[in-house]
Amino acid sequence: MEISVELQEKIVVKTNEIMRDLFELSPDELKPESRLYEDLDLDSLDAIDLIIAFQKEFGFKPENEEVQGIRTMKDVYEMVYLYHEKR
Amino acid sequence: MSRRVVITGVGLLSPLGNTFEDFIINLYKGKSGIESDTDWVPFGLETHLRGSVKDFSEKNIPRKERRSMSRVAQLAVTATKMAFDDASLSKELIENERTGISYGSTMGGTSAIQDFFGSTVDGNVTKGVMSTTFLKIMSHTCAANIGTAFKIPGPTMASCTACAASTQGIGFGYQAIKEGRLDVAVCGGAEELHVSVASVFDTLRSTSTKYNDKPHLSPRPFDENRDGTVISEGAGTIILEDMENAINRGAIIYGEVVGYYTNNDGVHMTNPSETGLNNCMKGALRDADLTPSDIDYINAHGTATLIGDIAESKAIENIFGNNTPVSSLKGNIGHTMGACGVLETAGCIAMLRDQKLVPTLNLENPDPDCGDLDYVKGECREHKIKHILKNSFAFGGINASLVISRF
Repeated sequence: MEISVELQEKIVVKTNEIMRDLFELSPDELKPESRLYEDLDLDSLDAIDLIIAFQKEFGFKPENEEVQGIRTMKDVYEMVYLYHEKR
Repeated sequence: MSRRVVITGVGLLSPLGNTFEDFIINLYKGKSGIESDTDWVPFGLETHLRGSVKDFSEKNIPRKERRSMSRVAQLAVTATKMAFDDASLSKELIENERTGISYGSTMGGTSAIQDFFGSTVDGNVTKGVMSTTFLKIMSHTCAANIGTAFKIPGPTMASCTACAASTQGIGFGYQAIKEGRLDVAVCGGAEELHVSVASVFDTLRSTSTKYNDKPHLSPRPFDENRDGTVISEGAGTIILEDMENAINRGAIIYGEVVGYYTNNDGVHMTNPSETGLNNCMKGALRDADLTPSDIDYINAHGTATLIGDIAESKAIENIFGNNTPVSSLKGNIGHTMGACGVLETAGCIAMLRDQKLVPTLNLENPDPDCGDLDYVKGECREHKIKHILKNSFAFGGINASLVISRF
């Protein structure tokens, strides 16, 4: 079932909050088109920590293949949307 | 191959100040870095005393480097940056396969250990454990983080031998340069203050508790009214260099490491052996090719524990008699454990430079059960110093002694 716009907005806010806390990023840097590795300077260890944080916050643990395909913040939001839709 | 090894840089953070010069000025002024707080009482500790590094911001270390560092490694990396600046080492010399690391601590980051093993106790081994948690708790966390932060590709040795860690760190670095295996060695050690580490000494009844309301009066190395040590934190890094290398690049040379020895009592895990301490100091003199009468000052381990001070002072008396001045800097900074050897060596470097001895703070009346020594107490003493012997001793019967000389 497709999730509501309201829930999408909440997910974006929460995801950005996690990204800011974990990686000390400023709100300006967190745009949908921001590339995780090139623009936000994340790396493989950061990706692991992001998964751990998502597990804690949203209660799901993405598969490795799903994470490997993620390139931008928009991809991150959509991964979280998808898990909420599956619930 | 036997080369001469000189000291060309010092960086430190301590309960007495966060630069080499502040540390030294406060030592000369006879200041105490010890404070009291009741926040360990709920944990069952009897001591309230500790020495901490103040005004330290970990945010000076970039996030991607810092994420694998507990406080112990943050202090180590920050002290190392200061030492590199002090030594004016070029990027080419730092990022060189002939530059190595020899650095220790009592163990990995204690606060991260709590995160890591706390989750096991909760019954969920992955809860709260991040990708970098292990990197903070591993015993070689300081050496590894220094290597990564400064891109040092040479050999890395981690001397995690508790209170002897940083003296061994300096000693192993000295040996590697002397034997021609390195040109530059980044040496030292660090410690982070944590209730769990203080509790180790508290359990063994080795912490000072009578001075909880007068923190500046303890610890009291060699004093008849001493009642134990005070746990502290800090970090120190010393840059050792092949003498030719240092002279050729025009480095300022603080002094020379001319002798080192380390041994094991092989007797008891916590009670020091006078024989083991004796053999260690004699080994360092032998390595330096010096006799006891050549030593102008002994910087003691002097933790202010009841039996430790007696064993060390008697071992010193046995070799040196009562003609060689002796003091301990732990009266000022407490026992910084993994950092004590290097911080106190930094004190020795300044004493060599300034030809002045720092007295043992809080030593008023030497314990009659301690050895009959020339204890430096009261005021700083002007003194002609060519050679200094520096001791560090650790649980497990691990002993380490250095001989440092004026260059």
